[in-house]
Amino acid sequence: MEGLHVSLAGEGILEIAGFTITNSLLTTWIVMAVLLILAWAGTRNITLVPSGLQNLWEMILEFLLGLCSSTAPTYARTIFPLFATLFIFIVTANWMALLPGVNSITVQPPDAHAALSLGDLVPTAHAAAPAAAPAAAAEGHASPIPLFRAANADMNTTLAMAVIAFIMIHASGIRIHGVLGYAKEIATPIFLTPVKVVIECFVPVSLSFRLFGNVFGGEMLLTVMGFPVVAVLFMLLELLFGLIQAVIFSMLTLVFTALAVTVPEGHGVSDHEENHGAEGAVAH
Amino acid sequence: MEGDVSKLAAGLAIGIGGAGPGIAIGLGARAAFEAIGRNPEAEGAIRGAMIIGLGLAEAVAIYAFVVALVLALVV
Repeated sequence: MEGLHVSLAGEGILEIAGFTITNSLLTTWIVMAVLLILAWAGTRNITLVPSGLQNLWEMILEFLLGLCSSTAPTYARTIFPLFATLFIFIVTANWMALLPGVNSITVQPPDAHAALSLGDLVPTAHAAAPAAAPAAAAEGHASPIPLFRAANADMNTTLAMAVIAFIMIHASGIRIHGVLGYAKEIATPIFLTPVKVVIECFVPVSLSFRLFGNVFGGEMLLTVMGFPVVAVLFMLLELLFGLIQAVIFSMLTLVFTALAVTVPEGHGVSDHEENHGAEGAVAH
Repeated sequence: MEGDVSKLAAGLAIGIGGAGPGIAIGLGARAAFEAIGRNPEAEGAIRGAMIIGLGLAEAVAIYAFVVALVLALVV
């Protein structure tokens, strides 16, 4: 299709000291800045009876804490920070990707090679398809690229979050069970150990691909369905999907962490709980 | 010629890859609706679990979609 700008990876819009700033990274920073400002404004003067922004934050956090403690009752407050951060970041990033201007404001790339050098993880469309526009790229006037790109429409963002979740899952498992205990936990039916290891290693892959595919697919859907009334309907659908994907990503992290820290029945549950209570008292 | 084959492969990937998740989502939603019909008080809990389950089923279609995109745009 002519005129449809499709690129699997983020594209470089700026280069600072050898680091390429991609458009999705820029959007990620904007999302982070918005969240920081909102958090600062919401907690600036905390009152006992909340109002305004503080009320909103308390509502969101209470809902998430409720979700967390219904899934992992014992360790809810240990898992909560990462879980809530993932949820709030993903939902904000997904919804901010629907703002006007994302994907429609374009800039000229600094040089044609910036976009080409990014193709390590997922090559850009025009980087790996030499037939697409080789002459234009070589002459230095590549096609304009969007200034903002949905943060989660870049595998790097979603993979980074999934790796953090992966480390969190196993670090908390090791923290509760000890290294040997956790290894024993994984190797419990000994003949299933390879399968279990493969399943565990696929968790971050599946988490990141799911989020990336959904956001990127939604973006392409909106691009293709660019007719006035239809676009509004799909926009509503995207609002819903953005929320659902945030719920799924953070809930799966929560569930897997809860599974990793769960002590099997009849293995001294009360003993472990006492240990954790002592740890928690020290940690907080 | 090679490009044509990869375009065909992309279409087949999303077409065949979307069928399984379609069936899965249909079965999952049906089971959830039947459960709500049988026990309307538990609607909230069932809806939450259904959304998670449907999201997991949908992920398979998303994998097919990503593969199709890579086939269509990159290969």
